[in-house]
Amino acid sequence: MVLKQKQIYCHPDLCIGCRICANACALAREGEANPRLGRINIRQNLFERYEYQELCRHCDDPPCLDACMVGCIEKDAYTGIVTNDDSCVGCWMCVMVCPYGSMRRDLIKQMAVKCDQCKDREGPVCVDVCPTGALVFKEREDTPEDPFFTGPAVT
Amino acid sequence: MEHVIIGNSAAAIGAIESIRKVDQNSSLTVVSNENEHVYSRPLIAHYLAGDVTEDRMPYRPEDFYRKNRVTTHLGTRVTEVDPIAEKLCFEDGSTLKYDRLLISTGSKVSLPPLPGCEDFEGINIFQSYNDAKRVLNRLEKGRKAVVIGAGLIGLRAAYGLQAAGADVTLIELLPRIASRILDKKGSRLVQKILENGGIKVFTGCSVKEIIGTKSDGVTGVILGNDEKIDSNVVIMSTGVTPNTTLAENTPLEVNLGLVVNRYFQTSFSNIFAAGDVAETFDIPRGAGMVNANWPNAYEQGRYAGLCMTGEMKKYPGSVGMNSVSFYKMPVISMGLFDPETEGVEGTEIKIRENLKNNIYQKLIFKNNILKGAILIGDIGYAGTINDLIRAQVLVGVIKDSILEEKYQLYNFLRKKRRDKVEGTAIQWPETHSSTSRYEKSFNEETWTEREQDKRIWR
Repeated sequence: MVLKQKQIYCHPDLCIGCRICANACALAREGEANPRLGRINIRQNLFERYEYQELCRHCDDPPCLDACMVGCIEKDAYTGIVTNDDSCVGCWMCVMVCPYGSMRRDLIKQMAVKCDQCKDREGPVCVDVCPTGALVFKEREDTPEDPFFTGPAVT
Repeated sequence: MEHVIIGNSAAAIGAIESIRKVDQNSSLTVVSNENEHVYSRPLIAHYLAGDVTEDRMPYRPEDFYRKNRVTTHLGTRVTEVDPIAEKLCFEDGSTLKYDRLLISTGSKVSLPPLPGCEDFEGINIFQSYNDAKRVLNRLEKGRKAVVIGAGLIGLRAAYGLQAAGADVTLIELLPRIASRILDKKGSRLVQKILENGGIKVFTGCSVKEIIGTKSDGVTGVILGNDEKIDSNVVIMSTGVTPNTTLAENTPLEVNLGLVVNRYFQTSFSNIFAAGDVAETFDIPRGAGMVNANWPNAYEQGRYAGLCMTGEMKKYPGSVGMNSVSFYKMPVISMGLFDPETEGVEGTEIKIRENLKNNIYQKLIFKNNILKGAILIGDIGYAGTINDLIRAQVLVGVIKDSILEEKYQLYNFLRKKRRDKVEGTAIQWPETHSSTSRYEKSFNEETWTEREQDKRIWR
């Protein structure tokens, strides 16, 4: 049996770019309050008034899994979560192919880090701390209308 | 249904995994001439350097074959493919019937006609796990190494040898290193990075002879100008070609590699080819190319596996891309990276460089479509740029801003992006289309210190 895959959604209009999610993520996962180490990251442009949320889609056919030459990225067949482990050697192949820019680089450890939806925790920490409710953790709708749909790309 | 796969690397694993995803019943056989569990070939340089220990070399866990119910014939060499009788012949005379065959034999090293290059112990190619082990054993005799040929494999080998404690000299016949993945300026920068790291690089330099003795193995290399370089290890990395030996004496069509269609079928519809051996459609060039690297091989294997089970999924095409990291300095090149050397006309080039901080970025456009990129030092947007090359969308409006700090495309989700960039679906807001803001010079030396700081951090 396969679970219906869950996904962190973000509502672009509600996001105010405070980066609390990134900070909380880094604190929970790395023990360091540094938003640059968060698995979720917000890019913000104050002049043009937009926020873009870099977060992992846990794609159906993850390009990062294709590209990883160590084989340390895997997609859980049951939950659909794409994870990597610490045998990463820092070749940045995954960074090169992720179309959403959601592979983060830990420059001190020279390792790629990525979101695993806080699988050891009850719900992702970024969703819990979001002050405006822009981040929502819910089941994915597998339709092309879904903005987070990662099924077969249109060619 | 009998699925047989020749080769045991990226493409084969991709095929096994995708076949087992849709087809649990048919039998799967893997034939390989190497007697190893599947391991990652690019990782052997890291193994040499000591970054990766032996237990981390397997690409998939030990029980991978058992879990996927794969019969393995490791350490056996296929001598002949008979497409008419649909069978394989092995060295020992036995045969194996197949219904669907995947050829993923990868590439083979082409050695130059160099006196003494096969005679002595200590002269290695650098392609397999065994090669790396041999080099490590040989390094115990002495810590002097020469790498002949500065392609990607040569650079990786030199980097690994240096990290293993050897005194490395890199010799390249062409006037610049890594000419297959970088342009002139890029290779000069990478050469600088390597030289700062302690690797001696000789470019435009030929090798006359490799000398040695029967008892001690190789002792040195004589250059074209009669200079002698002492060495205990010589690595020949003088280029690779697709390993199409199996297709000789068969009607399979071979051009640069084994010619395949968008469904990875060769001239016979039940023989498939994927990985470094296959000549696939190259998206930015719009022509057949052998794009030999790990991500492409795995992806091609994944598609080929699906097609083998009968679920014909069209392969969009490959983009030549490579990512390596020397002394914590990331180097990425994608697509058509050097139009001058390849003789492609009508291209437009955007460059951002900050040589003080070893940053060099270059984008190549043709007819307002992104065709290729080189990113050194700062690879922040590599994934999105790669996606733009793959999708081949018109990027006229945002051409100037891609290398900018505030990369506008990040505003969009991937699927929407295609509509938006083409400007058909939704009108751009006024601020996006005004280009005046982006006319700032990309020459970072004119930037303030604060701006440079911000840029480096990302």
